[in-house]
Amino acid sequence: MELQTNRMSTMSDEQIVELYWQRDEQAIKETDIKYKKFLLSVAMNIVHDICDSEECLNDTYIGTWNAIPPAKPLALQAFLGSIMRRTAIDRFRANKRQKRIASEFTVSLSELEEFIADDSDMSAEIETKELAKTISNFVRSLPDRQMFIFVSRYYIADPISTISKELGCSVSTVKREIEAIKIGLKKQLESEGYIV
Amino acid sequence: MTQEKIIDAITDLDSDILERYFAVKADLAEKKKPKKNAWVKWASVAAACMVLVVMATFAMQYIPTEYSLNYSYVYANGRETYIADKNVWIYYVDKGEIERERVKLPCTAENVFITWKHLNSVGDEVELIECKIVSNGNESTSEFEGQGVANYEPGDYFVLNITVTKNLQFYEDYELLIDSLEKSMSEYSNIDFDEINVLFN
Repeated sequence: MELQTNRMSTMSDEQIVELYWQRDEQAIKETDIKYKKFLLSVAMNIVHDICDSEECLNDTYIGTWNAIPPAKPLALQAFLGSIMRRTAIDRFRANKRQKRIASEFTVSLSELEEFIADDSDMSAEIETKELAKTISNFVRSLPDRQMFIFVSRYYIADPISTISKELGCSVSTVKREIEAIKIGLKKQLESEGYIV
Repeated sequence: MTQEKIIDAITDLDSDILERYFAVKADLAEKKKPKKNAWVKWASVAAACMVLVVMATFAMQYIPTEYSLNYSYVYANGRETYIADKNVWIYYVDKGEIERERVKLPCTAENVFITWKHLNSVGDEVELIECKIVSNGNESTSEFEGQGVANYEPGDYFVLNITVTKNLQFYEDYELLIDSLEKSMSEYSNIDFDEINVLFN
């Protein structure tokens, strides 16, 4: 798929979703115009390779084309980001099997492994969905700033330096806040029996 | 808990959290845009006003005085009215020569005459009785579609008749005074008179 344009999209998310529902291929072009940069940054943070990122981007467009309809996302950017993250993680896992794993994602992941890496204490029946719900509830309870840091760091896998620039503060400040968030998440997981 | 589960759990974060994340991200980006401080805006307005004042001051200096008109409340032609102030030359006799002075005044024959008297030190016993412009213009009436219509054909010969009290004749340099009066009374009206008569009553 070759999409090259410098035009700024003037379409709203609703209009783009409507194009998907009409099975109009212009939907993919408009998505590319509006969200290509964001999607590539998500992929790059995870797979850390421009060729892999572009392949992930194409897979994301195909995945979106197949998902809408029946899906009718209210927040297209979040929807696309979610598909891109899954696609990029699949690529990350494939690369991991081939020992090609040097990315911001592995760094951010290792931060969480500090307190939830021990698999032996955990029930094998715990469903990923339940864990996702617990984490979602925890993140939802955070103030905007901490929520932003958590999602930037562990969902988008942004480097700490990027987060500090966006927040207009120092790297060490963001690191301190990440530590505080991790402690909070750990308590939450402990209270729900994920960590013994 | 495997690393895989953590990855998948975070990937499955609820969409409302992601929506909130993107809203916060947009807010942060908006806040990072450079904003003009309020004082810069007000300083710009003040500077613009200063420039206007300076320009207006300069412009006033270069407007010809002939056109810098004011309006005065005068009693003219038997009724109160507003007359435009105008800079006019008033002629006067000084040491046997006719000189002139620029004077700004409400431009009526009475005012020009009073000013002329003042510059020539002519007393109140000399009065302007009448200042009349006579031309060879022709006024007639005709009928158009059953109605009377007034017609005026402009003339091409203009006479200025200035009637003053006869005691002006007793002043020294009487003839020069008459000349200066003719010049003063004729020039302010901007009419090129073919004949100017000073009459005594």
